Amino acid sequence: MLQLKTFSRGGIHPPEEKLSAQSPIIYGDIPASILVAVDQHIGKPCKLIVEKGAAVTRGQVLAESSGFISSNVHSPVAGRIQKIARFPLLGGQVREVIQITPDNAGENLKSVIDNEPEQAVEIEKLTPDKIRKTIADAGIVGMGGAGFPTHVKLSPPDGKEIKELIINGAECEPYITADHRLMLEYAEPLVKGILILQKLFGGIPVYIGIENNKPDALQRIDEAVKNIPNVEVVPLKTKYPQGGEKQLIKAVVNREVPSKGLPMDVGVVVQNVATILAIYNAFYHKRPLMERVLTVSGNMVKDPANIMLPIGTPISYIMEKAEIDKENVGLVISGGPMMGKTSFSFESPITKTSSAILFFNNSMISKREENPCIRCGACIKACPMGLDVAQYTKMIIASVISPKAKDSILDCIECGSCSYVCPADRRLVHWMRFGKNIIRREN
Amino acid sequence: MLEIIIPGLILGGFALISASGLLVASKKFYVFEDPRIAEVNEMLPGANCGGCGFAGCLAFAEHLVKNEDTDAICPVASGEEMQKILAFLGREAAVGEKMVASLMCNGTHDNCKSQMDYAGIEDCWAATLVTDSTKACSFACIGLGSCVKACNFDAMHIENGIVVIDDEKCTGCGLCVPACPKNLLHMRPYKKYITVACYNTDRGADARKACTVACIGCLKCEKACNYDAIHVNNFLAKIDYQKCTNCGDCVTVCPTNSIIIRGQEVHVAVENV
Repeated sequence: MLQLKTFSRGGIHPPEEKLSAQSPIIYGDIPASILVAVDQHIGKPCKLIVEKGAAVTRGQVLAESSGFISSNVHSPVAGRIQKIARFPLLGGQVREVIQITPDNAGENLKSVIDNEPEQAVEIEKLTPDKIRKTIADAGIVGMGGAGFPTHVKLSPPDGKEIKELIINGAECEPYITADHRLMLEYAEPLVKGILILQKLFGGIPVYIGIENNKPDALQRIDEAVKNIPNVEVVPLKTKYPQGGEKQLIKAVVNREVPSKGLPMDVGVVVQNVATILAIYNAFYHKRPLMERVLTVSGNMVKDPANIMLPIGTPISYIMEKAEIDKENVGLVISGGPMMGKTSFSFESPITKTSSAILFFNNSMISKREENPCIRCGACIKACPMGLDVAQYTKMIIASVISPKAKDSILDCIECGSCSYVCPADRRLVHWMRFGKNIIRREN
Repeated sequence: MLEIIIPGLILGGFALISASGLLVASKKFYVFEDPRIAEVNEMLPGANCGGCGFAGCLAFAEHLVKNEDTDAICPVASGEEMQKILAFLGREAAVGEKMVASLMCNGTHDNCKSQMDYAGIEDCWAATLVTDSTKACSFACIGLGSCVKACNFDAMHIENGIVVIDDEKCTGCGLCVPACPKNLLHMRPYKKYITVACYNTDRGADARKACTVACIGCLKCEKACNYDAIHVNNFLAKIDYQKCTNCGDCVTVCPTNSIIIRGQEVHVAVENV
């Protein structure tokens, strides 16, 4: 039997729970109030360039990128700025937020998008600088969850040659199906987006990695790229964290990113499918990143769905539409259950990186307490980065971290596989993150 | 008899050779060490806290003896003790008054409601990795005791969700200041009792919504102060301890009780006013 490609070390297989895999993407309405977070990316904070009370148009820049590793933020609606204040975001962080009252509240997003028809783009005439500038101006960041500005990833420093482009359609996290539906319903736009990036790097081979638990998406993308040279679909084994950047590179091109290194060190750029769609929109619709598809799921949601919403929609709006009983919600997770962040406010807005919003009741919260390590080694076996998690955790608890361990702790990708398998309910990822925090504070 | 004498002689011989070897080595490799270092080390409090910025009391004593550094101060030693040490070394130095750490927050569980059930690692820094604050106010003391762990003098304790500092035990070493992820610990002179127990720079209404004793930036204290010692900047009052006279006028006018008096003696002082 043919062996499917995957990464070599560790990994787990949690229940997939892809409840919304068969629900087509629906378009949300414009909510009565939009809360656009000023900083939605990793890197330098943006500079706010609007004031309270000002009228804004759809696509207007609200906050400007303040350096190379930074990204613009655009208004997804036309309206008036009600307030600029600090507000809790989905990750629990309280940050500056621009509250906009839209002029066309209640209008369906579909009709707004349909007003912006596709324009012809001559890919052959695009220069690399023009491509990078368009992507930077559109405020595109990695939409898989990390939020790293995309134009930075696409600008390798001199001496680093990009030999392959990998498109991340693995979607290994349980519950999330947003990328799955995107690949099914936006296959042609995705291919157009991929061709732009292929042009940027001079026609390099492109691999689209998709886990084999999405046979329909595999087939659909395969059909779409059939007649395109140098673009290939790679079916991957269903294993978490297959969609981790370093794991995906290992699986697809069998190269290992060195410790503290970046994918570009091994000549690879990885982009998420949602990011590719944003790139397509930026070129073919002249539309900056203002909407995204997210999965609304969890055991509190009657009809799990994939929905396209303007960035800045408060989750209370989603709860109202999905008829979720506020009283019984015990846990709100932004992103997947493995790596997502818990939120504590029902008013927090979705951001560029929210791939899913999951609502659970109290039964999903573990009441078990942290117990001593029983030295079973399960975490070490599960770690996709090959780290000795049990030992490092002990060092972190004792606040005595050996210099060699420091490098390894900083290599942790925080995927949560160790915590998932730990029979003693140890908060292993939290300890590793805390260890990173200690090391960064020391430096 | 012989079986005792022979081993005795052999061992005795070895001891003699080794001893003479040590004697030669101690003479040949003798390093002069200023005897004052040991004496200064004796005079220091011996807390080994590192508050002076050196590896310990001995390292600090060595620094004092070898360098004419008038700014180096042991934060634990009282003013007289420090003066005594410097006099011993034949120097004079202006020695500052005793400082103590002071928490710029009064967000107890009663004043500032908790907004989540935090079940992670019991450390403030670990908590900041998953949320800005476990309480309604994002500036509030998290109350998981990172500063308590940093304190070597048992001067800090968590009570009702915030850290309470014992001014008598606090030596002013300042080790707790960088240990706070919310930057809520500031040094104030031991004899200045009045503190703004709030660090919230949000607009008044937002701050008040988060905590009942938040500073709302109403400027009443600034107007009440006769000594130009309190100023509101960015919706938050701040006391200039150079000018503050402990009169307590700002405490009386504060509508949200965010300016508070620390320590025991102070209640008497305010009544006298």
